[in-house]
Amino acid sequence: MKKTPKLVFLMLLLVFATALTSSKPQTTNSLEGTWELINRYNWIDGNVADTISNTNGYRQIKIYSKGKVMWTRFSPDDPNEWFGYGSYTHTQNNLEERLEYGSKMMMGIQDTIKVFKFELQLDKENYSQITLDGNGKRTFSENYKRID
Amino acid sequence: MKKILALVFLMLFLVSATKFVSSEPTYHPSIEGTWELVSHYNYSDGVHPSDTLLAVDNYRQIKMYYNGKVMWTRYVPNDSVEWFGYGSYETTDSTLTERLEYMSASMRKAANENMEWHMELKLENNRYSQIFTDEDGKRINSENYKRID
Repeated sequence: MKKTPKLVFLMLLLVFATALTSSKPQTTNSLEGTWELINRYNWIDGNVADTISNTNGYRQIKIYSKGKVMWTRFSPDDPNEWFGYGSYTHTQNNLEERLEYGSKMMMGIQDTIKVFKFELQLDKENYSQITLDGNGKRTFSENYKRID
Repeated sequence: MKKILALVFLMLFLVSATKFVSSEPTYHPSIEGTWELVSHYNYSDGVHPSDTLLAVDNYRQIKMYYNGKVMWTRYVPNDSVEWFGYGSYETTDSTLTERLEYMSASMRKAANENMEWHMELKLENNRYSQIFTDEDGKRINSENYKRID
């Protein structure tokens, strides 16, 4: 009879343990989701030199899902239109986007840049993609907040 | 001894049962994901497709649905007009509603006042069609997509 409570305890422990293993590890934040641009920074000598706010209805939204990324910009003041679609990979600190197609303006840029490489700062609700110069110095960043 | 065996069996059963509960049901196909346009249908009798227009070479139109948000872009080489849109969406088994928040200038000219689209939806795991209907519910034309991801 003494053995039975021990076994019941073991049984409960094992059942409980499977619940622990089936929850996914949350050590790395995910870029998956919908993000809206809050503002942009110009960087000089490793510091934020100025902040460019969204004005006159400017909106820029990116969706990342399963290795695919799409972004569009709504900028009533700009006669040019901007969007892009492609694939992405990222690590904790780096983001790479490969454009498959884009607006006329983006296709013009794509003639010289095939892969867009950024430094990545990612947490649950915010992320920044930071453009570095040839020496690895920060020059420009776009800062996003999660919508969904 | 019999009791112990019974308990061991119960234990293994319970451990394996937790696996069943944690797998998600997959009866309903989801529109979440990335989709590429493959063709258009016209419906001349309002019910059946009367002709098919395949997407031409290099033309690409891709839509992403994610967690209630939708974004689409179109690439037509050598076309000076640009097309894209962003907004939210809702689906039922047979309908798709999109409310756009912003879009390209050319799309804005083509859009209705409230920037809302009500469509008939035909959704399978790896393809879907959004069908535009008139006020009487007759089908006009459709965009047919295949799943990329």
